[in-house]
Amino acid sequence: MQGAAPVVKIENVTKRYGSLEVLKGISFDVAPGEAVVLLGPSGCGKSTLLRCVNGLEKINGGKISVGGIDVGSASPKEMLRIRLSTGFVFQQFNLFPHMTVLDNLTIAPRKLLGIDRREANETAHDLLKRVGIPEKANVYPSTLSGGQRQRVAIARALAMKPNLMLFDEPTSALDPEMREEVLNVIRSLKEVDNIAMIVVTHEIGFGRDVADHAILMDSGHIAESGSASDVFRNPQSERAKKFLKSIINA
Amino acid sequence: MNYKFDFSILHTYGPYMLEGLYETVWVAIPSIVIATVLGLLLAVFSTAQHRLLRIPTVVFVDVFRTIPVICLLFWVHYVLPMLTGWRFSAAESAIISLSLNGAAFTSEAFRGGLESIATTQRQAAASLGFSGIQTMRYVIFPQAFFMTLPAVTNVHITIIKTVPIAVVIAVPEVMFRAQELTVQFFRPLELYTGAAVLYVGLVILYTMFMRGIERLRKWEPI
Repeated sequence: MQGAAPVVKIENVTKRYGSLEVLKGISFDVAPGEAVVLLGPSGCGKSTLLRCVNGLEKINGGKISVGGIDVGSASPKEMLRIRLSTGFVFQQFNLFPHMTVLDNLTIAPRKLLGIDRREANETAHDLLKRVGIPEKANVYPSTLSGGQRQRVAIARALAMKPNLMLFDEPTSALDPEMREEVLNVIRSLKEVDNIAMIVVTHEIGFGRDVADHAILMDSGHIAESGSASDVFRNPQSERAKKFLKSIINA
Repeated sequence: MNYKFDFSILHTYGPYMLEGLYETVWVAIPSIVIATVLGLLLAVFSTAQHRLLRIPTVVFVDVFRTIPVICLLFWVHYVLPMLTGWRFSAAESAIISLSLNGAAFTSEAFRGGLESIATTQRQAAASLGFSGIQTMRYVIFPQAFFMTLPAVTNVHITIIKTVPIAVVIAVPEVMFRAQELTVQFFRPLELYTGAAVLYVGLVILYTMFMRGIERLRKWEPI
């Protein structure tokens, strides 16, 4: 992976809400096909950072580039390119409740990429098969379980054929028994499709098994950063040890 | 009470009153349509980032929400021609007044509906690459439409029930005719009861129509 241009380059990023500084100089890269997990206590700025990567929020200092485009100074056209190539999966799924599952998956490819309905539908059916719910194409999201909704949300992002996926606590709103089905889908994106991803999560097992790189954030700083196996098995900082202990015991 | 009921007057003049209802409807429907379209535009502008769009909208809504309809009616019918030279028929003046007043109230209803669609929906749309206008069109409007229907229906019903105020500029609708006949035959109880029944019928019909539209929604909010 060395030498390849990073998909995401985050350099000394700062972010404030009024006088509250949530990101205090964060830097790391995501290489093509690399999976990075972002860990840390609630309110440490993980989700904010993720939103900044695809321009849902603006940073106050430093620089984020995605696919070589500077997010901060991107023209509307460049921002569109970033968003088309980046899938975002939210904690609360954020499916469109007024559309069937199929339409949730096809609306963006049809309206933004100009793909005709038949082809978009075919892709959507394939994706639903892939996430294990081919029979749900024609129902509305309200009839789905949480785990199914999140799998639809992932499929909706995949329908745009992204080369970067951003997951914002994708399993936090799910019952334990539904987490595995969602995590398996995310795992396959890494292992089968080799899509680069940043995953904000509290799932230790998932982080240890799937991620290449783990970053522990604490009150706006990076407390520890390293290969996932090092960070999880052999944390260096006191902060990391304490945090890992707290989520394992939780 | 030694009033002798004689509903036969309604038998004789019922059709004449019913024609008045036709006038009511033909003032109410254009008012409802204009108020709704205008109200929707106002609601969208009131959520706009740009102050040049937002401030005139807020002023418009506050002005027409607070002027009593009867005052607006006189103003449009008598003052506006003096200022501009434009002349409107009584029905046209009523439609203009009710549209302006109704737009102010529908815009409030729509604004509530648009704001009720969570920002997370906008973020989801933005993350896929939708522009602001595309987000409105594909994500926000289709949801807000059904969310606002009950509130908008209420405004529409208020518009229907406000039409009789146009009596003061002699729009020959139901109340005007009831008054006219009362002066002639001195049968207020029968005539005003008849008028009330007609309005109730009209509002029930309209409510049923809007309920029918509400039932077109096949999805549940989540």
